[in-house]
Amino acid sequence: MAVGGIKWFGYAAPQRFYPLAGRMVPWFLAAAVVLGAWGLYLGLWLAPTDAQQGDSYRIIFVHVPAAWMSMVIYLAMAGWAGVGLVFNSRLSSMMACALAPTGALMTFLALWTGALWGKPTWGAWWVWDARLTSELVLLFLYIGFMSLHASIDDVRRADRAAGLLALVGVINVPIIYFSVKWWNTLHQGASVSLTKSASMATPMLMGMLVMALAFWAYCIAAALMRVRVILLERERHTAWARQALGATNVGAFQ
Amino acid sequence: MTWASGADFFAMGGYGLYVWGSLGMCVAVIVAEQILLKLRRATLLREAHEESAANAGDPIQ
Repeated sequence: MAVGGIKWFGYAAPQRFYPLAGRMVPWFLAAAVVLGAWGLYLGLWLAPTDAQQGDSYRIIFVHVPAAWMSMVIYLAMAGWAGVGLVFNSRLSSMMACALAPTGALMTFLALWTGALWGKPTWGAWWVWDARLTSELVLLFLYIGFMSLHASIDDVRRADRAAGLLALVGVINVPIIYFSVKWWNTLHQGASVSLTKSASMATPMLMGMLVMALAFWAYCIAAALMRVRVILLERERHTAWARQALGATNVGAFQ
Repeated sequence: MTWASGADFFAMGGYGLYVWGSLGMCVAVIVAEQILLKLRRATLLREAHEESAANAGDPIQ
């Protein structure tokens, strides 16, 4: 299919996507570094001390971006897994596999930074409240996806089984997001939402949004780097992958 | 100006352990992820070259 002269589905071919992803990685990494430096400057230097929480609130500049990414990556992973199931497209399933470890790490960071924020503000590292528990379930979903995929030898069967698990687990994402509304929890409500103006001072809000963009850029870069390795792992016996791997006898299997 | 001195900045109003513990773990996770990615790629390259060398020495191929 060629819409506007661009062969969109052409990039779904592994040998085309591999170099394209390779060209995108340095841009996203550079964006992550620049935005991260700017966001930390805003958050740690320019933003004033909070009247209620003192400087402990500065954890927000990594906590909220990590928590957002943990949910966004899950939705992206499940979306790619779903596309892989419906269209039986290899690259989509590889994208889902590439996103899972980064999503799990972001979930871990959300929980870790949350614990370090909870201790000084609530007096506890951990409480079994709805927000924290559903975020922990998210971590288990990521680990479950990766373990299930790793436990099945036939990689296409593994894609389908893990993809189904990812799709079923999507139900957990709205539970995390709305947990602070649906249940009476210790966790504070959203500081930023689309429906009302943000309940934060401007440099604080700016710092948080810039850090969120930095996390976005890093996660995209990491997922692209990983999908490139997965592409080579799975396609290593094809001519293009052998060429990319620098193998000496490219034509040996032809 | 939020901070009076460098020490003031690192103390984070008494919350230094929590704030730097959070930021430090973020940096550690990112560094670890990048190292693991590099190792995964290096392992793949090594195996591919071993396979390739083995096949090159095989007269049947």
